[in-house]
Amino acid sequence: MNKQFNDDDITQLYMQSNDELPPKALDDAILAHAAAAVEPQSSPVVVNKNRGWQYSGIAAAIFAVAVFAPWQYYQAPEIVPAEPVIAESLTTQSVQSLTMPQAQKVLESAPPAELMEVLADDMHTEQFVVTGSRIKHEESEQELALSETKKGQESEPAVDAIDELAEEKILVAESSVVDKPSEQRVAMPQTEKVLQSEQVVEPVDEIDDGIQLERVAVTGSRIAATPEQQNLSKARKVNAAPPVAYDLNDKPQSEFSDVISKLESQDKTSAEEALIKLLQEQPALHKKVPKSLEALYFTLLESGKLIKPEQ
Amino acid sequence: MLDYGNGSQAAFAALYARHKGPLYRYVCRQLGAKQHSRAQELFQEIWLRVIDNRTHYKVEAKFTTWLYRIAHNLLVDEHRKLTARGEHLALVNDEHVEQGEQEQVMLAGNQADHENTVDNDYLQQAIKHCVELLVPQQRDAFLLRHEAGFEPSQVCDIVEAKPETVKTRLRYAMSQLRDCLQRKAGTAGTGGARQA
Repeated sequence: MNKQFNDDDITQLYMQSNDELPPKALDDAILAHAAAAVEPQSSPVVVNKNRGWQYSGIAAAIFAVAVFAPWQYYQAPEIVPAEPVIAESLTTQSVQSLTMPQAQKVLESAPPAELMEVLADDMHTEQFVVTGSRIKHEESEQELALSETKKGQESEPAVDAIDELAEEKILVAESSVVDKPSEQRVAMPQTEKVLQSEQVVEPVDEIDDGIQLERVAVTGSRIAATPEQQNLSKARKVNAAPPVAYDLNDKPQSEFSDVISKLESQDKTSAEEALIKLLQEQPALHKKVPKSLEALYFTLLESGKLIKPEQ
Repeated sequence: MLDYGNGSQAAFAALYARHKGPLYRYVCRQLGAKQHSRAQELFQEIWLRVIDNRTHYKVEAKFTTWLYRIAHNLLVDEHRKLTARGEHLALVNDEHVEQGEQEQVMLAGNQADHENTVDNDYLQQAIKHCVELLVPQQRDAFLLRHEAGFEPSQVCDIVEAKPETVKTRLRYAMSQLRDCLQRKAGTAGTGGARQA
C-alpha cells in the first residue's frame, strides 16, 4: 500500500466527512444572549418619566423665588422703630429751621415729657465736637431757650444754664471755627436776641456745600430775656444779672472800687484818704477789705491814721 | 453584522448559521479531540465577544476575517496556557500513542474483509489525526486555508504574519500531512501483511 498523496488528495481527504456542528444547546444559548443584548436598547422609557418630575420641580422652585423674594425686599423698609422718627423730625424741623412760634406749636402738640427727652438728647448729641474749632451754637442755644421756656417758673436754673453756655464760649473762644450747614443760620437772629452777650461773630470761610465756618468770641455774659420770649412764656421771669465788675480775683469791689481806681492810678495819697473816709463812714467794711488793699489798710493802721474799731 | 449592530436579531441568526460549522470545527481541530468541552467553551466565548463588540465593528475587512481573528487570538491564549502547564505536549504524545494503538487494532481486525471501505475510513481518521499532530502555527494556517476557506492573503491578516511565512507554513503543513498519511498507510499495509 505505497500510495502517493498530493495536495489535492490531502485536501479532499480532509474535507470528507467533515460535518461536525456545535450542539443545539450551545446554539440556543448563544442566540438567547444575542437577543438579550439587543432588547434593552429599544425601550428607553423610564428616563423620560423622571425628567418630567425634575422639570416640574425646577419650575416650581423658580416660581417661588420670583414671587416671594421681591415681597421680602418690599417689606423690609417698613420695619423701622417709631421713636427715632419722632426725634429725627423734631431735630430737623424744630431745631434747624423753626422760629419761635413754630416751636411753640410743637410744644403744644407734643407731650411735654417726650419733648424734654428729645431736646435733652439733641443737646447731648449736638454739643461741641470740635478740635480747635467749634460749631456755631444756634441749635443748642435755641433748644436751651425752648427748654427754659417750658420750665416756666424755674428761671434761675435757666439763667445758670445760659451762664454756663457763655462760660463755655469763653473757654473755646480763642480758636473757634464753626462747622455748620448754612440752613441752620435761619435761627441765628432769634438766638442772638436770647443771648444778649457781647459776641463777636466773624465769618471765616464758606465751603461749597453750605458749611460756614465762623469765629466766635464771647467777652461777657450779660444775658437778658427777650421781650418776645417773655411774652411767650410769662411764667418765666429772668432777672438780669447785676452789672457787677470783677477784679482779677473775681470779687465784687463796688465799695472799694473808688479806692482801687485811685491806687491803680498811683495816686496813693488820695487813695489813703478815700479808704480812711470809707471805713470811717462804714466801719463794717473793716472785715471786707480786699486783698489788693490789705497792704494799704495795714499801713494806715500802723501809722495811726486809721483805727480799727473794737468788736 | 451592521444590521445586528442596529438591533436586528435576525441578522445575527443568519450570521451564526452561516459561520457556526467551520468555526466550530476550526476550534475543535485546534484543541484536539480530548479538549472537546474546552473547545465548546471557546466557541461560545468567541460568539459572546462578537455580541459584546457589535457596536464597535467597522467595515474595514470581511466579517469572517474579524471573526476568525477573534478566534485565533483566543486560541493563542489557550495554547499559551496549555504550554505553561506542560500538558499540551503530554496530551499530544499520549493521544498519539493511544490512537495509534487503536487504529492498529481496528485496521488489523477489518483489513481482510473490507479492504477498500476500511482504507477510505482509515485515511479519513488518519488525516484528522495527522492534522492534530501538526505544529500549532502550521495547523492554524492549514485550517484557515482549507477548513475556513480563506485565501493566503486573508490568512496573513488573521494571523498577522507575512505572506511568505504563511506560504511556508502551508507548504510544511502539507508536507507533514503527506508524510504522516504515507507513514500511516505503510504501517497499515505492513500490519495487515504480518497479520495475514
